Amino acid sequence: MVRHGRPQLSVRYRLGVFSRILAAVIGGYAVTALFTACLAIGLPLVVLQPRAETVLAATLPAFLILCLAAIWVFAARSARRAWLGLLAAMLLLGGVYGWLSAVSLPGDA
Amino acid sequence: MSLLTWSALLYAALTALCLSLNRHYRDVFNNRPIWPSQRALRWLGFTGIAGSLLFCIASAPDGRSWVMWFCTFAVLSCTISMGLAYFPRFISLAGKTAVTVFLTAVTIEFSF
Amino acid sequence: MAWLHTWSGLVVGWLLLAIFMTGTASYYRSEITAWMHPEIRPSAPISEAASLKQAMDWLEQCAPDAASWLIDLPTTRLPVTQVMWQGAGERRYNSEWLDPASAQTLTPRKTFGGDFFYGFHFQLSLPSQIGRWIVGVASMAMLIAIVSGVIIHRRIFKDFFTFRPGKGQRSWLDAHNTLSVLALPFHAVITYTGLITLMFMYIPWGVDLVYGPDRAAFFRDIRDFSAPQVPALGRAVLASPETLIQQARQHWGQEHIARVSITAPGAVNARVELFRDTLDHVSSQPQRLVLDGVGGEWVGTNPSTGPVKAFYGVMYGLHLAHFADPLLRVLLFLSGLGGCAMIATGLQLWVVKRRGNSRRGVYRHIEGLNIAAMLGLPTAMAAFLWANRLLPGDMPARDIREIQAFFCTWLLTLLHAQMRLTQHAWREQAMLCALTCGGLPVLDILTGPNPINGLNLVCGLLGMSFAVVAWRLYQPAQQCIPQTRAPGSRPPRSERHS
Repeated sequence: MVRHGRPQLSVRYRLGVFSRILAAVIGGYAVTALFTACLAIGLPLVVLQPRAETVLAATLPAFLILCLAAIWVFAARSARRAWLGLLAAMLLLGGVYGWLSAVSLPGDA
Repeated sequence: MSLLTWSALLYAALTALCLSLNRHYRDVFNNRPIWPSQRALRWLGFTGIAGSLLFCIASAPDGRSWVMWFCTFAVLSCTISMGLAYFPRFISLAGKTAVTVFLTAVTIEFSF
Repeated sequence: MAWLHTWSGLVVGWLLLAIFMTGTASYYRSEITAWMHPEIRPSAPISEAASLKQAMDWLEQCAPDAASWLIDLPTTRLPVTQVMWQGAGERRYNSEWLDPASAQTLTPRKTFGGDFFYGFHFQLSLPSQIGRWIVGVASMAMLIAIVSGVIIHRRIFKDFFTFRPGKGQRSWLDAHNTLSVLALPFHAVITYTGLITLMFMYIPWGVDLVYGPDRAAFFRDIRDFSAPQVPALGRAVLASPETLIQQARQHWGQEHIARVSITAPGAVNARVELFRDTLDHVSSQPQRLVLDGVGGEWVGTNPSTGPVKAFYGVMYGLHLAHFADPLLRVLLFLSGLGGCAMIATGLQLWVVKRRGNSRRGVYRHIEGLNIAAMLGLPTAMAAFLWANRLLPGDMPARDIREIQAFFCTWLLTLLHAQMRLTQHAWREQAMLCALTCGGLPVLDILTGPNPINGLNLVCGLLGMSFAVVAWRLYQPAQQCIPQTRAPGSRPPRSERHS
């Protein structure tokens, strides 16, 4: 149904929106997971504190990260940019996580 | 600084801020000049809001006071908004009443 | 960004409305539970010492061999003493209610009370994994809707107080903006802290990486559960209630015990933990006194609280608002209602904007969903309370029947809204809502022990509000049908940014 006064939404536009939704949900969640993991492993190396503190400090910022990621995806100029940005973030955090896992001694909780 | 005092101040300050905006100033006063001026109202409004927050926290320095203040802010500003929509003639009177209540309460509190 | 705000709000809008409404009702969870148990008749003022003595005597008599006892002391909001005991080797607790004035067991009717709305709020009456995940996704969408809403409506102060009723779509937009902006701190904090309460389910990697498979150890650490204790073989007399009260008074002052936990009562290694009420600090972490169960001496202190754990406790506490005194609770309740109205006006704005002048088609059905969510749900909640009084007290499985009454009523309102023309559906459901809510105080006068209580007042006021809405909806058409622009015309400049 064509509505007067509104441009007919093209397939390309719809695909772009769908792509952004996927990026926000899957990519955002992945970035959040990696961020939390990095904090969970990295914080004990930096500051000596009870384990519960580390877990809380790693998990509390997660929702903010997810929110920021979702907002960023929809503020980016195109769906491709959104994906690229998220993939870059994932690679960076993944690298940090890998490095931190190697640095912290095995079995060190 | 009791609850009545800082909430009266907050209500007066919110009314002042509201009336300093052109749209509401037009609706309530029909563009006739008033005392204090619109600019003065804006300053009084912001000062009053900050003052009420300070008084609220000072009277009971506790996390709960913050919650109380923000909730009171929400409820009072909603009241003003509804008042503007349905009873615009009483906004100015209500604001003046709040100022009177605040000054009276402050005088009573500080003279004991 | 406007697209994000619209769709993140819309896709979960009806669900969020249900979550917000049951959450707002949960501010009065204890009061609803007390209302739904009319067998509770507090006669004399309740003293902490007397209640504790009665509870311990009762448990001594009726459950002397239990592995542990739990006693919840009566409060002004819920004036019953709740005693619970756990048999050796069992996980479940048995529980009984005692009347604090007469120390008799009460046999209240089986009902979930306010716990039903509370549980629905975060679990939607579904199996826990599914329900909590759905609520989590909806809450995350709400957080995104709030942030994107602030980004769209950057110039907050321009329209801060603006509400122009009677102008159709403009009015719905004004209402949505005003309700969102004026209580923005409340909405943002409630949504974020709500996510935090269940965050270990949604973001498990912190726990998994630090604690490995032993998640239970983590929850013991943050909730300060003491490790369970196996009763020793030697028997000893348990410390007297007076000793325990005296310790509490020494550390905390008068009348501050909320819960007493006694592990291995009657054994030599009995341990008593007193939990302080949390009425005067925001954090949800209660202070504990650990006492030796035989001599009553003070044994332990609270485990250390780091800054992050303290922050977490404050965040958790902000959501539950257990610290709210009656006035603050009213303000929070009103803010919660404002949140419901914010979501409702958003949903209705979307429909009004897009349906044009048509009375049929998909928007008519969507508006029907709006009606069922905004008016049908309060009616169903009131029906739950009606069922509590109308169903016989000794009916088997009556607690399930009450819940069925809730869901059946909601389903019927949904069908009604879909089958009737929307303008009729609005009027009729508003009227029904007014009658069911406003009828609750009347019902309580007829069937309850003490009709002068806060819940009746709130329901009466809500009923009157819905009645005013219904009256306005029944007014002649030209005052009430939202005006829409002719299709194809452009909105005036000031409206275009939304």
